[in-house]
Amino acid sequence: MEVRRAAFKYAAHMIFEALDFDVSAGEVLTVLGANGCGKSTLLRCLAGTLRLSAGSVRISGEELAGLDSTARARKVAILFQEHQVTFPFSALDIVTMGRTPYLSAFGSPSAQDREAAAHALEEFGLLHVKDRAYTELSGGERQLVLLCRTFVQQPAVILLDEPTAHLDFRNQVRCLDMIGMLAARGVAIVLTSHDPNHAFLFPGRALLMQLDRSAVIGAPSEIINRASLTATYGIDVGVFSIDRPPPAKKLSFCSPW
Amino acid sequence: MRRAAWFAMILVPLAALYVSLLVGRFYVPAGTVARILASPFLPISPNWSASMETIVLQIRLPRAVMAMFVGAGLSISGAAYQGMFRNPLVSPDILGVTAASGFGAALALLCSGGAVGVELTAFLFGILGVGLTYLLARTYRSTPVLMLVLSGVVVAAFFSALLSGTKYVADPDSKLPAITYWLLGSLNGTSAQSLGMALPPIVLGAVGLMMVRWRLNVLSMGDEEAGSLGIRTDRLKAVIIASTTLITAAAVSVCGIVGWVGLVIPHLTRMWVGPDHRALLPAACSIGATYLLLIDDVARTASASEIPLGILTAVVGAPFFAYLLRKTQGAWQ
Repeated sequence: MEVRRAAFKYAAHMIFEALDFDVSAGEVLTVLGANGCGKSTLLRCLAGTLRLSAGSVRISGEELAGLDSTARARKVAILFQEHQVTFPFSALDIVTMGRTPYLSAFGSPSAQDREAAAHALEEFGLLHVKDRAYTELSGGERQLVLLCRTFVQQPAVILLDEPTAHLDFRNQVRCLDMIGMLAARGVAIVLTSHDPNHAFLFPGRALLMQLDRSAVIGAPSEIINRASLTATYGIDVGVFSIDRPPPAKKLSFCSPW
Repeated sequence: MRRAAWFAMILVPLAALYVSLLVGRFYVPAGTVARILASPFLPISPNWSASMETIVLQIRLPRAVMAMFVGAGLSISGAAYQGMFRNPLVSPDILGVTAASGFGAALALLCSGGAVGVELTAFLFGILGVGLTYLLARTYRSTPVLMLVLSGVVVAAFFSALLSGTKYVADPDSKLPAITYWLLGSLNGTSAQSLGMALPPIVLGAVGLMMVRWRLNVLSMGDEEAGSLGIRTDRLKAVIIASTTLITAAAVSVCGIVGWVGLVIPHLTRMWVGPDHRALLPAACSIGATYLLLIDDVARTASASEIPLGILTAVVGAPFFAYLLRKTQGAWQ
């Protein structure tokens, strides 16, 4: 995915401008920033549900703005932060919905589509929730089922808006693990997070959307430091590193300081 | 769904239809009903009176068939709207079709229109009402659900006021009772001709809804999410609204205002077959057809004169819904 000179204005209010970055297959880009800095807006622009005021988004060489919703859904999957399911669909039904962009206008999923969905659930260790009502699953299981749906959608890019919000510590880790597994299958992933530590967990870069509306992008070990985090969140945050027994690499983390 | 369930969904309404042809003040033996029904197709020498044949084929059969199609139509419409509005408390008249159709019928009755005139006016006004709601709700090339609901409230209130105005100026000795009775709902006087007028739009609408039954599942995830899964939500909503309006406008135009069917039946069906619209829509048709057929049997046989259908469906539907509410404690499963 290539993003060039991207800008978004809400009325006369500039949310972000002149954003340039690429996300390659298998990479995870972690977008960090304070509340209201435009992380979610950026993701919606990358998904094509909002239109950029200027600039362009290209996915595998194709201009996103030129695609219809079906073609777009085959290239980009997105999980929104607010998400409410009213009716008790089974987890398998929810995952099967990921096949929708591959169906004809009046078609229903075929046996193969259901099989692909069941297979994905199995692959990510979720087979035990297959026939359970999605509305009765725990928050963590729901998020994993939705991640499974994005996988079944077979996009080049997966966009995740705060996938770990509302999850307990264990489920945050499970969710991040699964995101890592998706990236390892060659999908480009862009996720937003409120926890700068998440950036250190993935093989990829971080994008800091700072309070002065400038953006910094680069390897987490290079760009996440006390000065940049202060410029991003407006509080004093320290970044630390500890050695781990080999072959594990250094572990970096940050904390209010 | 299992094959046995599909068979039951077809056989139960047909069995109810046969029973409905037997009941009534004029006694026709069960065997005779079967022979009368078969006589147009098989060489059976008639051993029944002409009045028996008239009653079965020209009075009871059209009325029973109409009850089935109206029941099925209102139920599939309610199921589709509940999915689209993501709310199990929605009924097919949410966009104002009933109020607008009611006004159309009252206007035709006021102008001394015949049965066909009343049906036609009611049908056209129903479509006009929903059309107004749709235009009112349309913003920035999309139709948000909340805008639809609010516009529906506005349009329904407007046509209700016009209906009241029509009643106010109607002659209290002849026109006013006619309007009032029409609005209470009845299938009395259903003829082959009114079947011919009402069935095509009901069937057309039902086919339309059946074609998008999978997409309804996805749409019930919400507009933005459905859009990200590759669905043109504004176009899909237009198809659903158009189909549902064809059905409900046709239903109201032939039998007046019959409430609760489109709310209770989809709800009940969802408890049995689950929320997947691929099973929910056909099952709601089957159960709705059987339900309204049996209700109409009660309406025409329970007392010396007809009981208006709208009264019965509410008297049966409201307590039943209350029971469901208490039993499930508001958890829609």
